[in-house]
Amino acid sequence: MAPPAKAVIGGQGAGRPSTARGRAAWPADRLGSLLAAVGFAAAVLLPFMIVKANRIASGQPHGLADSLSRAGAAELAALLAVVAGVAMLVRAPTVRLAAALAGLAGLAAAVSHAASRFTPPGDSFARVSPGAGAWLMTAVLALLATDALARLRLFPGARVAALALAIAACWLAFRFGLFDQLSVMREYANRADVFAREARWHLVLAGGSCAVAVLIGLPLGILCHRAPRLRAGTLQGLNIVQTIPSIALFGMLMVPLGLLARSFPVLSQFGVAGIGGAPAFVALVLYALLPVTANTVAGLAQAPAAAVDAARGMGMTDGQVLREVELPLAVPVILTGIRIVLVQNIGLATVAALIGGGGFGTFVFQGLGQTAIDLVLLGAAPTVALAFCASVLLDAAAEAFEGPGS
Amino acid sequence: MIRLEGVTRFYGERAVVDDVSLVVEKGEMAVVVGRSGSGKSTLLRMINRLVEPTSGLISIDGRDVSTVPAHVLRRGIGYVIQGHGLFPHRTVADNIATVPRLLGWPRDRIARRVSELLELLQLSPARFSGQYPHQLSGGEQQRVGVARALAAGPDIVLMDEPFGALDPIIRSKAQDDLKAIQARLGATIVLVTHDMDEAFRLGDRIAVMEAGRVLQYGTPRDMIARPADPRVAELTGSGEGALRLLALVRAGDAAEPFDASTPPPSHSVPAGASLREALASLLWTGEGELAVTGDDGRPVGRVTLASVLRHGRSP
Ligand SMILES: Nc1ncnc2c1ncn2[C@@H]1O[C@H](COP(=O)(O)OP(=O)(O)OP(=O)(O)O)[C@@H](O)[C@H]1O
Ligand SMILES: [Mg+2]
Repeated sequence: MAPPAKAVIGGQGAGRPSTARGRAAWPADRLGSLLAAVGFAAAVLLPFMIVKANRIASGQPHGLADSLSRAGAAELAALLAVVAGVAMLVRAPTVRLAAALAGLAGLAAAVSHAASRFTPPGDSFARVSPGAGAWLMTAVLALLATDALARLRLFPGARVAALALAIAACWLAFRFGLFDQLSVMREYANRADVFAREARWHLVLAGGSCAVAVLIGLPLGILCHRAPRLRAGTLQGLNIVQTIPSIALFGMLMVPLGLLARSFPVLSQFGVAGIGGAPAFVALVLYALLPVTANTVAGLAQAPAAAVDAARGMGMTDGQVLREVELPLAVPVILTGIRIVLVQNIGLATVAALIGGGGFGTFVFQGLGQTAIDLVLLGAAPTVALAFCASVLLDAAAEAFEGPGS
Repeated sequence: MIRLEGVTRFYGERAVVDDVSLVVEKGEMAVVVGRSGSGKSTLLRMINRLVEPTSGLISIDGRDVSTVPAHVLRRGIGYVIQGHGLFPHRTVADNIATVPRLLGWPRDRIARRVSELLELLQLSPARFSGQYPHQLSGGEQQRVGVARALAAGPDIVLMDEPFGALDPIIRSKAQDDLKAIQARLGATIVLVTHDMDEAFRLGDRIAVMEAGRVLQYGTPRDMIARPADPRVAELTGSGEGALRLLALVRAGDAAEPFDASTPPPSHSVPAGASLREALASLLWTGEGELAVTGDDGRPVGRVTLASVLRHGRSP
């Protein structure tokens, strides 16, 4: 079999030319084929929707065919078949991206449609949620989309714009109640005001602790850079903090902060207490210190020795060398550190709920306590989305700063 | 005038620069030459206090450098670091503008100065101003490094192997340019190299270093005529002494007036060429004499094989 025309048919993954050494090579895109196979299996073998009589009853699985009307199922199957074909055979990243997005939109519409079909009118106890099949298909399509985006090699600004578009699309879907019949949204509807409060607090907890860590870690890193004797000790100390399990650290902070609040009652007016937000915040700052400080030190150290030497030789003071040469060259590395910290703290902040620290973790732990998986999801999904957004934004920022001189 | 008196620098137990005394007169170019690791860079860096001497005294125009705040001292001394040391995150123009900006020059004066320097070093401002160092060739980077050192018009310039990355032809061109620039700016220059030819070509005085000590400090002619030490003779290349001597004499200076009785020579050399080049030309053409032509191309005199040979004889 002759190798097919390269212009249309995918090679073996991103950008690599297809090879057909004697044996006929599999002409399709490898990742695309794998995703298509997984998606197909998910659609055929796994339940598309789960219906429960009430929020803690055990669920009744429904396949794709029972979940939708005959016409609806046929339409979705046709759409997904086209997407699978594109994933396997088309190389152009824009086409792949468009197909993945179309697939996601179709899937969302189908889930929304199925949820309305399964919800008896006037029944506020029944719970309908997407089954493993729907989730897996979503994951497969999302992977296809991110792979296509990566192949597009977008500039940092374009990546941020793409993220903004994705957020806008999700916002519209929620705004127009596309998923209102789903159990997660039912849980949300019951606690919309609490959700808004915990979301805000989660942001404050993760973002604020990160900001404080930068305010402490950046000067500390600069100091360590200047005084090598300080460096080893500081970094090792922070390293040890990093290895303490989060729950243990939260627990360890409860005692001193509780004592502090009891000895100086004034402080408790500012929220200092043994349990609640204060120890959570302090613990998150402590976790964030190592990456920020270590990356600052590493970033400053990577400024070429000759450039630093030349700067001194031309009459820059220590402060000028730092501001004009070392720091600008360190910015991408420092931003990478901040990204790690922000993503890490967005995740860790969920654990804060264990000691009454609030945030999305509140729903996760309530849900675990009540064995209400939908409630767990209400806490976990926004956490993941938030971490993803933070990662994309800071990644783009770091790359934008790397731009000119490299 | 730069004066070093008994300057010594230890690293650990080892004297990397050992009891060096020398004087560089105003407007002169002193070249420090020696093998790798002989302490040339360390010596140079003590003049702008990037390295502090363990003992000894360094003064500029009679003023002890250790009494001037280091950053103030350095802003008045141009410095070309070994291996260019350009700022990777700044454009060529911004790199060159470093010291003028530190001195608080107004913006338009800096811009004018930058393009002037780029032209002086034969880097087209239109093409190079906005480029980043990593976009330049090694030779272009070094020229930007030189331009950066000259930016604020310093009276003293320290240059650490400024032409190391240039190929031989561009290198000799750059050396000529540097000579011309120095003549124009009247700067005092201390230049470090490990290339003896470069030292002879550029130096008004040469300091030969070996293991931290200056074996001899004198004019190029002295080096060849009266080597203070067998090691100096070895470094300057004893077998090439005659040719080095010839390279030091300009044909215009050695020219004799025309003798009306003999026909004018059929070949010529420019007055600015060295006798070494004149000799090469005599050998190549098989003639006994050459016309020496001035800037306008008209003959001003002649050099004969006999007079060239006389100039090359051991003094
Ligand atoms: N900061 C330092 N600490 C310890 N030793 C040093 C230091 N700087 C230089 N040396 C040592 O001093 C000696 C002279 O170094 P220097 O840089 O002055 O040599 P150089 O003549 O410029 O050599 P090259 O031609 O290779 O540049 C070397 O042996 C070097 O190892
Ligand atoms: Mg050196």
